[in-house]
Amino acid sequence: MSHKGIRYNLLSRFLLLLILVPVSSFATDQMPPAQQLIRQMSEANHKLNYEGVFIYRRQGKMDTMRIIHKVGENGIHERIVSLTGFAREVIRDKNSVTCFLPDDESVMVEKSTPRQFKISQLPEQINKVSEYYTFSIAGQDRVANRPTWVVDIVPKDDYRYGYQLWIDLESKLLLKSELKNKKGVPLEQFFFAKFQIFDEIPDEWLKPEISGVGYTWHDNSSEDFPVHKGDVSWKATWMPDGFVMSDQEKQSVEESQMPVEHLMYSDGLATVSVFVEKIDKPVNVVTGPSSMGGVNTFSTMTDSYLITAIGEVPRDTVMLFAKSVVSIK
Amino acid sequence: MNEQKREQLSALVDDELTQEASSVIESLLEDDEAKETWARYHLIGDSLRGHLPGQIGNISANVSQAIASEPTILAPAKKSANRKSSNLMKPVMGFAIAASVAAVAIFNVQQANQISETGQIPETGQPVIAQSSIATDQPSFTTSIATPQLVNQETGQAQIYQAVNIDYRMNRYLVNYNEYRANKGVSGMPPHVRMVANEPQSNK
Amino acid sequence: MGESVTDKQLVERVQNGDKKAFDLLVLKYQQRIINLVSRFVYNPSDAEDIAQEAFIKAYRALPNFRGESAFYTWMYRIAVNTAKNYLAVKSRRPLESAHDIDDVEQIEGDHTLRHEETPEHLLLRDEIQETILNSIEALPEDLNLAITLREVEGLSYEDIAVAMDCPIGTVRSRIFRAREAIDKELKPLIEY
Repeated sequence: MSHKGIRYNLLSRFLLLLILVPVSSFATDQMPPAQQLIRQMSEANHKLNYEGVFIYRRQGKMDTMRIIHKVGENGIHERIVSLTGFAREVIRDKNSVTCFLPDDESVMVEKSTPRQFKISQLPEQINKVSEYYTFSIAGQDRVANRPTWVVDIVPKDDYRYGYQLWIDLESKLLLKSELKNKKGVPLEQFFFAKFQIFDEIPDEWLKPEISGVGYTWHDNSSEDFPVHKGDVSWKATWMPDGFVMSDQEKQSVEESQMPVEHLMYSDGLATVSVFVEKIDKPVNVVTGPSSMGGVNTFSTMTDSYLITAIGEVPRDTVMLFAKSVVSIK
Repeated sequence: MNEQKREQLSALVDDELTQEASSVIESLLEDDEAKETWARYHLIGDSLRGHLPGQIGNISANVSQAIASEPTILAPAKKSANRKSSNLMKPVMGFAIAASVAAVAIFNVQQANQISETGQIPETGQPVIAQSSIATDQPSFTTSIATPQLVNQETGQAQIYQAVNIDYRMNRYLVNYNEYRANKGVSGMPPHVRMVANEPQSNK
Repeated sequence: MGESVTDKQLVERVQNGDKKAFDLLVLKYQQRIINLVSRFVYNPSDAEDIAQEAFIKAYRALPNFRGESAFYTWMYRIAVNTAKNYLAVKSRRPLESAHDIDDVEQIEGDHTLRHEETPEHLLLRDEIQETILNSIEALPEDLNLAITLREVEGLSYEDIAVAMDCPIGTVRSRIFRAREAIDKELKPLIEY
């Protein structure tokens, strides 16, 4: 068959089940432990091509978007485009992330984090993480006309958020998720209205609709702006139990002489980034808290350094993170 | 006013009646009950979009009365030559796409219907949706687990950040954070969704 | 939001002598215009008076409206100007007493109508909004989603059909059924 976008046929589906599900639990009515499902979900995301239309809801607002997700030897190549309001797009591949913002007539390009994801890392992470979260299977449900398992992840303290994940029975891909605070109140919701798996996805589907001609380009992806691992001068001295520094980078950016430090922390599930940037002219510097959907940020100035913590964690957590950052040199 | 008329009225409110608009408007003009329904349907939309005044107004009767004693307008001689063409011809595609980006895949159910038995792509070279995705039966949105209303988590003064604003620096942080999050093991929805989401424009 | 085809048709009808068509425009936009001019005055009665005046002015100016902009955009400007004029006029009147602000008897000008006596039951926004929101929450998911995509996100039926993966006819029907359900709760609260 030479045409593209071949549909996901019966044979592939059979083979896929063999890959993802141990033979002993072949019958889909058996209930696998929640953590195993989550691991399978991550694996599926790195193995399967899919496309769909989904809804993103938060604080009474709703957006509809399309996602095209392609996997290959170069890792994940993904495109998300807005179908409501301005036609913003984000396209990511192994080298960079590009954001088209037609409402601002600008384009941002940032380097992709070098792939640290190794499937073999996950089992340890998931096991440790159960010290800080409770995992359970809440039942079954249907999303986009497909049966799913519903997994609950409830944090054990107030410094983290919880999740509810609806995982496709067949493919183990994520079809719906909710971000929740400790009381179980949903803050964000994401769910597919239309969803399909493909054997192959042509590269054209991942090209942007917007050319960006005439736009302002903010491009930090070229060799002129190198990224150095390690060699950082700052660190956070407070974090919730179970958080460790998972990575650190120093990156040059086009609009500033001084490089920006990026410290990354995680408890295995939640992530917090801390950025430290020297500000030459402290005008229009916004400090304090802000939020964007399920992500909270907190910024504070120390001497002439702007310290910003960002994470899918409660506001107090990013605030305490940011305020605890000190110079180590 | 029967149900069919009310349904047409609902479509008229959304500007989604094409041929029928004229006759629906005609019957609307003569029917007081229909007018009231027209007003309430718009009230619903105004409410959801935050356009209602503190006290709901009711001035149409007064305006109507005042106008009754005004001279009837006779149409100006002709419409201006620059009059925009009617919106009645909507693009065939699900959403407007510039012709120059025809290379981008367009998912079009009508096109998919043109697939021949052998599954060949139509001449345009557009990829097609596989047969199974053409919705001939009702897709289901039913969930057995009720979805509670999403609420504002904060009681404090957290600023709601808009992805397009003067603070380009924060955008840069967010993109990098999202990328880190996306690569770091388990996540819920793709983090970059937040960057693509359209926050409301405060000054428009 | 783009231009409304319905607005165009209604404007044309008014321009061709049909006064009743103007009623429909008033019914459609009155809340928005009242809300708009409320920024200029804090008395809801005054806001209604200004809105009334603005609509009447718009009716008179309609022969000169050539459709270069959308009707609402044009109406918006008239309303703002009317409100500003009202304030300018009011500031010239000497205050009789400290309580005068609530007692503006008359606006100078030819054809201003006095707002009718306030009915006993004031129709308050919060009450209306709560009713509407509760009603939507109680809807089945597909109706809830359809009406929200339409009214909050402003999607066309076509785009909603894509988002919900169903035929356009189904979208139209769902939106209508959502409106019927909400209207059932709304109607008793509103007496025209």
